[in-house]
Parts: sequence; structure tokens; C-alpha cells
Amino acid sequence: MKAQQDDLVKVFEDFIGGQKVLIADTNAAARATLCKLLIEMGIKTAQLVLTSSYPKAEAEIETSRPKLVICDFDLGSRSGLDLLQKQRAKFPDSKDSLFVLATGNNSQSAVARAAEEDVDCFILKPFSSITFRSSILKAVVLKVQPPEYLKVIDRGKTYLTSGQLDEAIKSFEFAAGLDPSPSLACYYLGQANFVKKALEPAEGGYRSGLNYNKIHYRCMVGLYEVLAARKLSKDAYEVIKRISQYFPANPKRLAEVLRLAVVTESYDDIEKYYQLFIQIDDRNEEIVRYICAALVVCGKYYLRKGLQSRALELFQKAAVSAAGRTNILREIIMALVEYGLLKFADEYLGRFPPDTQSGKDYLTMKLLIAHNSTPALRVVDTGRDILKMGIQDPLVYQILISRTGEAGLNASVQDLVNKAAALWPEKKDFFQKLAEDAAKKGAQSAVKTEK
Amino acid sequence: MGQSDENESLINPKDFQSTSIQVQFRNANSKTPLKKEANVTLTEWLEKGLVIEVPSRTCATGHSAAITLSAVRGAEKLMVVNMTVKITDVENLPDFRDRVTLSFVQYEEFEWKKLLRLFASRQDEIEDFFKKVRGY
Repeated sequence: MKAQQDDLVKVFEDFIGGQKVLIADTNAAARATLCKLLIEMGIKTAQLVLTSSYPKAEAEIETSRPKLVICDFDLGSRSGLDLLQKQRAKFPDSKDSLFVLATGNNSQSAVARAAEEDVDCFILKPFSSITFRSSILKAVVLKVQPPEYLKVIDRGKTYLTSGQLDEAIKSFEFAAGLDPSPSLACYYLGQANFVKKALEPAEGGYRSGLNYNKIHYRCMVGLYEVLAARKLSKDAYEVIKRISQYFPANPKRLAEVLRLAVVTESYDDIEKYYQLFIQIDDRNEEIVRYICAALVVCGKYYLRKGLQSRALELFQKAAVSAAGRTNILREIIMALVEYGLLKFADEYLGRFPPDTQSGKDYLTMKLLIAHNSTPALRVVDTGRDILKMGIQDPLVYQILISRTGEAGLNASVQDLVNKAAALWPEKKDFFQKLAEDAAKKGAQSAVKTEK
Repeated sequence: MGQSDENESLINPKDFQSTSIQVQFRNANSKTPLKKEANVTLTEWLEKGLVIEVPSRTCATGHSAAITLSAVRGAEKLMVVNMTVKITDVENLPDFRDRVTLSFVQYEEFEWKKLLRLFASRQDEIEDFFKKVRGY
């Protein structure tokens, strides 16, 4: 047993060589403990680099290029996973090094994010020296002495990246026979077929991988991508929902789930997600933004269907979750105005926090409501005041062009069109058409007045 | 969540909860309990002891202390272990903090082992989850 342990320590020492080991942890005692344990494992003090913050750790990654990084999941306002992404982006060959999360955050969301990012090892804090040592050694051994199955997959990956797709497929098929649960080999078979644009065989590869292991992350993501590429939105939605069950808290994915829920008109699901969302204590900015946006889209759908009270209920939830985010309030007001619900739109205008009431969203929405409820000349005056304040918003120009044209102020209209077209060249034709329509409307009302 | 079935909800608030250990420390020599806001963290399990981080000058080598460890998940208290300990080492750290090594004098062995098992089983679950996710 002792000899076996010594062999493992030798493997570890050889793996590290004389290279640096980075410890990033906000807790001083945790840093000291990790230092002590690594020194016991043969690392020299001079090889150790200790940091207490994310920015320092990021700088050390660049300057020291550590062979082993041990960091906490939570590094101040950033995550240890951000550090891993940074390391991989900066040094693509850093997959040869070891990235370990030693953290007190043992929530399933943190664990799943770490697994998604392919972290080499996840050690719970507090830990014992035995757990720490054995976890690190196991991860190193897997890295430097992989089983035959992984070696063959690696060979296939080399063929895959060099474009030798048939050779790659042969390797992955061979690898699949080397392991009783060859999900990874199936995944790469799927990938090779995906690259060949053989989408059905690709889907088959991912599905076989999932038959062996229903939570194989890459197979699930591969399957989602192939279904999305085949524009099978409903099937893709089912798969991404499943991914999110096992790998929660990835804001980008949640955004995709919500997008597909909207595309597939699964509006009841959005309301269900909202109910669960409000129970989460640790909501990050992205999740809040996406859920609010989805609620607003859902509300608009109900307005289209004539289900006004349901729509209002969703807008109410979106506004509460938005907690003063002006872009969400703006979307709600625009939807309400579109359906002529000016009284409600005005109520939402009152929800803008006082410090945002001189900002673009508030003033533009105020103008929009006025546009639908007050005479042209007053709207024009208000709009001009907004422009004088230096606020540039296409909707302000849109309203001003319409109402100025209706008021028969043709010279001003062309000036507005020119200014708007200079700011948003892609909308030039739209503004021009708006001016022409407004001029016609103005001429008609002038004729009526003469009569 | 890793073992969830297909009908389970997309977002499970429990997935965002972490089990943590809260440490209450009372120096028996100075008889002064630490202020509530004083941050005491547990960093390492020893065979019959602990390593904790405390504000500096909380204790000195040779002192005795009463410790209460509470395992907490969200608002739920999972278990509580009380122990009397002796301070065997104090190492000064930056930012007015000390790394303190404690050895047990009196403790509830059954509860202590249960606490260790709670964390060890979560570590095993995590390793198992990683294996399944990667497929090797």
C-alpha cells in the first residue's frame, strides 16, 4: 500500500515537474491549508503562487502558466470557472494541466456547472488531508495514464481535427468496443457525422450515447445541436429542458430554454419556470433578464389572443422581477400601447424609478403614451424637447416624423428624416415611408378642415 | 438533481442550495464568546480535530474552547455537533486572521462521524456525477 502511494506521489511529482502551482482562494486559512498539503505532497514552496482574488489569479495564469490550479468556486464577484475559461482561451494546450475546484459551494448547480466545464477535480471544503491527496492523485493519474479507451478516442479526435473523418469514425467505433458504457465514443461518432453533415447518423450517435448514460453531457448537447440544425424546435426544446434539469443555473442555456419555449408556444411552461424562479435566492443578472423578457413575450402572446387579464398578470410579474430595469418596463408599455391599453401603460410609466426618469426609456415611453393620447402639436413639442436633451431613440424620431408630418410641417419632417437616416442608415427607407404617409394624412386632414 | 427523473421541474430551487458548516466558538480561558459577526470558517477535518480560521487574538496555544458545528442547508439545520477542544497551534495570517488547529478533548463521537459521513457522501455523489457526465 505504501509503495503504491509512493508510486502515485512520483507520478504527481513528474506531472508537476518544476512548474508552478496556483492557489486562488479568498480565505487565508484555506490558502495556508492547501499550501501545507501540497508541500507534504512534494511541491516546493518556490513553486507555489497564492492569490486571494480573481484579478490576481487571472494575472498569475498569464505570467506563471501553472501546471496545477486549485481555486474556489466563488472568487469574490467572479467564479473559479471564469478562471478556467480564461486559462483555456489564453492557452489552448492548458488541457494538459490540471484544474481543481476546492470549494465549500456544494450546491448541485455549482457541481453541474463544474462538470459542464470539464473541471478535472471537485473537492468539497472542508476536506481531510486524505481526501485532498487521493482526489488530486486520482485526477493526475487519469490525465497522465489514461485507459486505452480514452487513448483511442484521443487518436480519433486528432483525425477529426485534421479533417480525416472516415479514419476518425473508425477510431471511435473501435473505442466503443473497449468500454462497457462508451458514451464518449458515441458522442464523437455523432460529432464526426455532424461534421460530415450526416445529421441523422449524428443524431443516432448521440442517442446511442444517451442509451448508455442518460446524463452524458456532451451527448445531450450534441443531440440538442443536431435537432436545432434540423429545425426540429419541439424536439430540441425537450432535449434542452432535459439538459437544464441536470445542469441547472447556466444562464445562457436558460435563455435558450426560454427562447424555445416561446418558439414552440409553450407559454404555460414559462409561467411554471417563473414560479420556480422566484424561489431561487441566488438569481444572477442574466437569469433575471431572461425570465423577464420571456414573461413579456408571453404576455404579448396573451394580448394577441385577447386574454387581457392573463397578459396583465404576466406583465405585473415581469415588472416586479425586473426591479426597475427600464428596458423591461419599456417593452411592457410598448405592448400595452399597441393594444390601446393606455391607462395601464401610464401606470407602468409610474413604475420607473425616480433616478431613471430623465433617461431614454422613460422619456421615450412618455412620448409614446402622449402620441396616442394628446394633440399633434403638443407631441411635437415634447419630442423636440427630448431631442434637445441629446436623447437619440428611433422611436422618438418615428413619432416626431409622423406627428410633424400630420401637422403639415413638411420642412421639419425632411430634416427629421435626414437626421434619423444618418443615425440609423438601415432604417432610412422606413423613415422616408413614414414621412410620406404622414404627409398624406396631413393633406387629407387639411382638406377636411377647408371643407 | 443528478438523479432526477424526466418529470422533475426544470428549475429546482434546491439545486442552488449548498450545505455549509456554521461554527460557533467560545474560548473557555478568556470566557468571551466571539461576536456574532465574527467570521469563523472550518477549513480542514483532522482525524480527531479541526482547523478553523478566526479573527486574530481569539485564542492562544493551550487554551480550551467550546465549539458547536451546525450543518445547514438553506434554512434547514441538518445536524449539530458540540465539542470541547484544546488549541494546539495558532498561525498568524494576513488581514488579522489566525489559522487555528484544534484537537478534541470531549466530543459526541457518533454525531461527529455522522457529520463526516454527510460530507464524504456528498463528495462521493459529486465524483459519481462527474464520471457519468464525462462518461469515463
